[in-house]
Amino acid sequence: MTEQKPQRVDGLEAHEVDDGYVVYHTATDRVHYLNPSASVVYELCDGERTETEIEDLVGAAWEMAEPPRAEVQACLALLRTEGVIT
Amino acid sequence: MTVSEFEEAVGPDRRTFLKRLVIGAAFAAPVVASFTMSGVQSVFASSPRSTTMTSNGNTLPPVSPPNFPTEVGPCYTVGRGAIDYPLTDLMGTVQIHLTGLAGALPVGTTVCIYRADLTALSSVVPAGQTPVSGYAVVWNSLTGGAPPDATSSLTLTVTDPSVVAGGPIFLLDKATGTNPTVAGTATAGSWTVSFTQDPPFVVTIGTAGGATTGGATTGGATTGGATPAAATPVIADPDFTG
Repeated sequence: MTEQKPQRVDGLEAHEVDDGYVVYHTATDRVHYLNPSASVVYELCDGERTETEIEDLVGAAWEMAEPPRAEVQACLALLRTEGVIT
Repeated sequence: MTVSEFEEAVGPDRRTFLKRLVIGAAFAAPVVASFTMSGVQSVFASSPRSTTMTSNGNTLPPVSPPNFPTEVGPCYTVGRGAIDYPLTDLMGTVQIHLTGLAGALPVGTTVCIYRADLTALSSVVPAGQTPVSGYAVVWNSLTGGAPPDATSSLTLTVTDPSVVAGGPIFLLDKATGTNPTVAGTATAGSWTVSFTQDPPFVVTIGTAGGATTGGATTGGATTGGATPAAATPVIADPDFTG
């Protein structure tokens, strides 16, 4: 668990598609396709919530018995690696 | 935490969209697929319950086929995991899904999708028909020479509101992008083809008149049967299976 509060960086253009987001990052000139759960994680990265809270909200969204902590953590790590969140 | 807490947590401008995403599917592990805009490098993350990454930035994309000049989205590097290849085109009005890649092509193969030049294809399809949608799937060889055949069928589904039910799907000669052969029919708003060879071209003709395939001929660029009013291009080849 962590109290870090992920936040989307500036310069992102998120486009809604049928099954998630397609995010264009102007600074890196890269495009990211996010599936539904990754899109939810992305949306919750507003700098106001801790990673633990994001995990809980993802679990709540799909009414899961246990939040998918490992999956959310992996997603956050990947978004951070890509420079999409800080 | 409850669903309502989740709904309150997301911004009102995105709430409806995110609710639809959540309601529309069971939870699947987050997938983030990232690409450079050049389309030369592609990095994917996928697996049923974990997020992993494979990449291949050294494979040049295949050459676009004749009459299919516009690359759609980034090219895809085939990995070991089963993953669809979803794209949108034409400002999101067209959805493209290519499936069946994993295991069908060697790991590291680059697969690209190209959009047809519908104006150019107007003179290729039979008289009286108008192309309304067209895509080609092509892939490269990792060892040089001709691209290998897929060991199992790839399936391309294009959802395009301009496609009309009953519109014929035309297969074009892969070397010239001409010589249409009827290879199936579209449904309202979409068409699907399966194939094993590169580059499979198909043209679907949206039609208001319920085209048939009965009079199609190969190599002659004519169909002797129905005369649809509108058309669409796609992907296929002599081993077209769909």
